[in-house]
Amino acid sequence: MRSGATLLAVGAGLTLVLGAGSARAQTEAGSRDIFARYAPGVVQVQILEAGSDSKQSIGSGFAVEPAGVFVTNYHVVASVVQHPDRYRATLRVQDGSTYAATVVAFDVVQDLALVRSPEAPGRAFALHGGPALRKGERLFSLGNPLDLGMSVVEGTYNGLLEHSRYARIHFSGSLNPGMSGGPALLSGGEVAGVNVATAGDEVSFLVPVEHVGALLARARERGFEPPADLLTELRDQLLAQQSAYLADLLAQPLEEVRMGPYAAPTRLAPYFNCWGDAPVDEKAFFTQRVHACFTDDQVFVSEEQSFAIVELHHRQVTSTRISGRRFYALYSTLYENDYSKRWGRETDYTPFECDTHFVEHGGLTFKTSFCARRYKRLDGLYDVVFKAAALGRPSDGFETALLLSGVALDPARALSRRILESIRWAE
Amino acid sequence: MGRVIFAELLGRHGDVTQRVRVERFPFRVGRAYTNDLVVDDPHALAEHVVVEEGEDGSLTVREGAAPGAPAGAERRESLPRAGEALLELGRTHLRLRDRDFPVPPAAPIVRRTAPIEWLFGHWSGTLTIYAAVALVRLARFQQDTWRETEWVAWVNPALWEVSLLAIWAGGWALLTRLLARRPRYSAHVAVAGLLALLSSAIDEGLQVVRFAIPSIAFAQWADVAISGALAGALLLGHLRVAHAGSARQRAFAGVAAALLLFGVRSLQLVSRQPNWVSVLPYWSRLEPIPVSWLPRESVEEYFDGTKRLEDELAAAAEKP
Repeated sequence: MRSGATLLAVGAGLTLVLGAGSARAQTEAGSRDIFARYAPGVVQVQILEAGSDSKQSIGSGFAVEPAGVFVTNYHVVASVVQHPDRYRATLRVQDGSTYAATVVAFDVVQDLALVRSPEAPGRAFALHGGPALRKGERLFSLGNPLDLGMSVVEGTYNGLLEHSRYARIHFSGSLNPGMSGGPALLSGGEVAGVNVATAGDEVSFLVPVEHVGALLARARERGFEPPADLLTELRDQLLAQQSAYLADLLAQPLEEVRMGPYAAPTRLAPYFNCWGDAPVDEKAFFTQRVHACFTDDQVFVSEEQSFAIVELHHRQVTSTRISGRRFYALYSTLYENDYSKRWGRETDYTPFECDTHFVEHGGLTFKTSFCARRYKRLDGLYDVVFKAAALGRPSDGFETALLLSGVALDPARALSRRILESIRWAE
Repeated sequence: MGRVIFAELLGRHGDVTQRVRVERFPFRVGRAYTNDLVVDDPHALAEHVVVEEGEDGSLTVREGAAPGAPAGAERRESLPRAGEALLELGRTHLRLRDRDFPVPPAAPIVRRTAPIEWLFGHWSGTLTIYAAVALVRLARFQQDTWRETEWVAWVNPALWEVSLLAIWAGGWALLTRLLARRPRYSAHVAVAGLLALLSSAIDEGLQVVRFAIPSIAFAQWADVAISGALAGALLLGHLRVAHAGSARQRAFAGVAAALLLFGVRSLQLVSRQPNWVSVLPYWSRLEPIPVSWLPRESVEEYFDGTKRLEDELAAAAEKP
């Protein structure tokens, strides 16, 4: 879901086992009461491999109005959305009986989905629509961690994340894989959020409940019928999301960071978080200064694909004892780093294509590479890496890298251009 | 005085290994010790060739039939004045030449270029090659070292490269000893060492070219072509030193080796490409050449040019 965070669905390939909950004192009566009253309404969402009916992944869900409609996370049902021919969804209720379910709506950006199973019993949960929550309020999260059985986890509301374009509740409580899609309740039983991810050590995240309301409204307009093609719906949502995202970035005033004799753009938007350092290595023949900006946002699409990753990296390097070809051999090696742990299968992506040239701007000459690969199943979307290195100085260099995932090419090109045009010689 | 001829036994490369002045006839050549000239060739007849003098002073060469040849397969031919005859006694080559056989004018003494002779045939030349290879390796290590480093780390790669050269040349010397009786180790060191130095020089030069022509395809195919050419040249050089085969055969072997390597690496290049979905195919090499030498574009021109990627990626997406 975000850097360092782990989604809470239990998948066949998921091996991460998070630490046990702390010995934090709980209001036993509150937890017991919440569990007794609301746990029976929480279902386990099972994704089955269609050929063998084996569990591929599990999550949690809860009923809402109208009857037969259940809320869960998009990432719980992602396999069904992407490969409806290979996977199907079922709901397992408290008495152990299971019911076939259909994905009728999802919001990939907010990581929410609605599944419908008309026969499945379930008392509808009330959604919190009252005043905004205050930090410190008690929340009770329900779900089925690690397929161990229905559980309740008590925690605290700690506000919304700051470095995120998409609202996420910071929930101080120990969510675990398998609880994805379960409700986080106020003490009165109203749903305040939907379990979505954890970063461990009782740092967990919820989707605010108002997004559930918005998704329900959209599904209601379609009579709770599934989209004609789930993959097309997914592509349309991603295109709309990235279009709005990059338009927002392009509209923001750029802040500037000083990197030695260069000035470069930093924090592309208020929800970006920037870090920098100048690591010291006494045995090295050079010094460097690094700067990186990114957000906590990532839109989970599948185990192999995450979107909305926007990262900006700068590095300024100065030689202390070497110059000429030796310095440029070092500069080349640093420039080779593309800052990304990128992966992918050839069924999902084309190979990258790059356009490399020498570009002059503001008295500086850069070697620039604009590289892109296209998504094969999500038409119109690309991963883009833009790199530029300033040339011409015998013992001084500056390089930048912009990483974008799941974007259209035109806005990616516009943002890359804006970054390049914002780099200037500051001395 | 009667006819005088010279009988010459020729070596593998046409050099004379034994020469006999013949004044008395008949003159017999063969494997038996009753002959005037005895050849140590198991495929020669006991009495293989007889040169007889006629009453008029003419000479006739009578050659016995080879083992297994039909009856009456003997050959006769006359040896004219100032003429010559070439005969095969099994695998031995015999040349008969009349005393008056014309010889070409004296060839001027062509001195081989001293440094080449020195490099290819003298131990000090060999040591110089080793030193040059080690120094180039050290220089390349230095270029890629940007921290203070222990001396052992410097010495190791140079020692490794020199050892590899010594072993490689040793293998070829062994082969040459079997083929031509002289190992010619220095010459093999010179061939391999000079090509290693050439390869380093080309690689350094190519870095600049790759920087100036930032096309990953160009860089890859240039690498493939050059490595093929160097492999062919290496084989050709060693074969020449070993005196293996004729010049044409050696050239054929060199070209074949170059094409083989080129083909194998081309296949690797082509077959690997579809899997590069995670690799950025841009050339990251940067060089300190003056920026005024570079073909530069404005920002607008550059980003307009990147629009071609859309079509290329659409075509790539169509591929199965």
